[in-house]
Order: sequence, then structure tokens, then C-alpha cells
Amino acid sequence: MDRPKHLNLFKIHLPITGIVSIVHRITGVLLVLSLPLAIWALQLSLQSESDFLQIVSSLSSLFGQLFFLLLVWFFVHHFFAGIRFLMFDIEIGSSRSGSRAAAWLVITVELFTMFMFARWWLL
Amino acid sequence: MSLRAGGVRTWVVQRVSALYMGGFVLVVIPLLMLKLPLDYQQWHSMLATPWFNIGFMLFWLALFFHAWIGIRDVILDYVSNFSLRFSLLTAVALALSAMAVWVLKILLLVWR
Repeated sequence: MDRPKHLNLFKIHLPITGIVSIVHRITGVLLVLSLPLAIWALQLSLQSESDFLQIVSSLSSLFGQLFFLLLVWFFVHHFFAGIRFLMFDIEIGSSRSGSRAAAWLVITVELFTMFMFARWWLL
Repeated sequence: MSLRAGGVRTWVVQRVSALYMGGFVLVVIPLLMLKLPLDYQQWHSMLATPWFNIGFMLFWLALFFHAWIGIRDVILDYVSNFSLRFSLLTAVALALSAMAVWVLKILLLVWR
């Protein structure tokens, strides 16, 4: 098992489709890692009024807002990149040019969604 | 020894769970955004509403299946050592199962 290996991430040039894809994987893993925290917050939000208010105030702090925004971004990318893959399953946009266009569409929709959400959430 | 992983059924479960979660999110997020801000009573009663409570339980069920498949794929791709891979997969399966039970408990206790 001595096949050549090249894992210098700084030198590997991924096309946009590859970037959307690996970020989809990375956001998936990060979302799973954030599950214990999310479930903990859900529990606190329901078990008593004082705990509920504590969750609300944590989410209202600067750190809380930014952290939540980040998690939402992870979800939003995973969601839209996931839809792109579902479209591939039914043969939509799976051609070479189609998949590139779809990748850019995912990025555009994702940025727009995050812009709108951030505007609504932070204000 | 052959421990098979994946196949059409896994692919279907991953897609169906994704569709359910997507549908749930697309319905619930606008609903929530319209109702915000919520106080504790409103939040609690929303989670206690039968259709929401059960639909939300199904969301978590879908999530844990979906997450398991995803993480399993990642581990299978990057961990080639059999023992390490087996241990990691077992640990992840246990962790996800524990969280699933935790969520079930939380959502059942809403009706306490």
C-alpha cells in the first residue's frame, strides 16, 4: 500500500464544484458536532421559564448572535448544496457546464439568504 | 469478514430524511418568524401542540439517520485502519443513539 499520496491542501486547486462539495461535507460534520449544544439549548428552553430566559439572553449577546449566525450559515450551505445533489439524482444540472452553473447558483442563493437572515436577525 | 456499508436502501434513507427535514424547516421557519417574539408560555405550548411535537420528533429521527449516514461516509472515506474505523463508527453510533434518546425525553416531558 505505497501508492503516491498528495495531500498538500494549499497546493490542491479545486474547481468551484469541488469547493461547494467539500464545504457541504465540512458543514455536515460541523452541524453534527453542534448537536449536543443544540439539544442542550432545546432542553433548557423548555424546562423552566428562567432557563428559557437564560437561553434568550445568551442568544442576544454579541457572541451568541455571531455563533448562532455561524451555525445558521453552516445549515444554509448544507441545505442548498444538498438540494443541488438531489437535483443531480434526478438528472437535473448534472452535465459538466450545468453542475458548474448550479454550484455558482448555490453560492449566490446562500449568500443572499444569509444576507437577508443576518439583516433580520441582527436588527 | 464482510461488514457491508451502503447500498440503495442507505441512499434512499439519506434522501428521504433530507426531504422530510427540508420540508419541515420550510414550513416551520416562516411560521416561527411570524410568531416571534415568543415568550416561554408560547414556546412551550407550541412544542406541546400534538402535530408539532410529533412532527418535530420525526424531524429528529430523520436527522439522526441522516447524520449517521453522513458521518459514516466520512469515516469510511478517511479512516483506512480497520480497528480504528470500527471503534469510531461504534462510538459515533452510540453518541447519536444517546442524543436521540435525550431528544425523545425532552419532547415527551413537554407533556408533563
